[in-house]
Amino acid sequence: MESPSLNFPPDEDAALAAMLRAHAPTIADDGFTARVMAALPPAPRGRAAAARWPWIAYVGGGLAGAAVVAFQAAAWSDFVSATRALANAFAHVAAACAEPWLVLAVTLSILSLVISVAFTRPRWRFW
Amino acid sequence: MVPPDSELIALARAGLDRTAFGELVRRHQSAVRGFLRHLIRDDDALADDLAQETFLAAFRRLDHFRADSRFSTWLLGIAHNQWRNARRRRRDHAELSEHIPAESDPAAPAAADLHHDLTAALATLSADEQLAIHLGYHQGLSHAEIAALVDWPLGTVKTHLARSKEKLRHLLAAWNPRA
Repeated sequence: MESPSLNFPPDEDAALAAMLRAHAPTIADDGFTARVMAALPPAPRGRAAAARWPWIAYVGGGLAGAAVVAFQAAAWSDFVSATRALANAFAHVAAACAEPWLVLAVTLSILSLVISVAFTRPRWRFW
Repeated sequence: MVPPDSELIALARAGLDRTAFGELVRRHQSAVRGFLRHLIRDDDALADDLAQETFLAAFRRLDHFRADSRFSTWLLGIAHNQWRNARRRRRDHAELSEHIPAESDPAAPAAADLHHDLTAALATLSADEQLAIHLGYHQGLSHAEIAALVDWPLGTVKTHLARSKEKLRHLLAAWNPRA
């Protein structure tokens, strides 16, 4: 509340204000909240699922990849060699990424992505 | 720890937690229903129906709520719109009562209790004065919030409150030992 009227002495004004505030009725809920909740429109289908699907995709993709590797590897040695081959492939990619022009391009892409996410509040999320 | 309104609003907006909105309803139902019952004196059921519509509208428009005002004030604004719309719809049929002051005689013998005297004193105020007192003291709104809510100039709010207090001070003098 803002300062009370200056027409009265402060203590008199405060006494009246206290009297009025004490007079404020408090209404018991008596099932009102339940009634409102029952009348809410049904949850938009897929809204909760939309928030979950990226995680489902990430975890599902990872598990699928692991399953393919496990299926293809007939023996443990195959699995180790495949892992080494994958590591070598990553090393080649990492070496290519060391090119200054590529670093600049990647940096600009990430920057534009961050700015667009921060300022446009897109409906989609990575997480 | 009791989560603040802002936290519940964020959860409700995300659409993942309906109980968060339920908690907001539970917290603010008394203020909204009290405000509408003040506006519609003779029909608590209708006031509660409009209160329900208020919360449903708030749920739909939750994304429009800006944190630069209190959630309770925002709700009261929606409630006031609901009441105005209902009054417009019913204008051709049965007029919704617009906080018409009850007939009372200020000179009647004082009742035994303060509550009764205060109720009687409030009933002698004009409709706008009653509304200003309700919003300012029962709902705890600032002068600026009242002005924005009922679309009055700030000076009008201050005038209504000052006049109301002057009348009440006179009518309730017996209850104030300093008067």
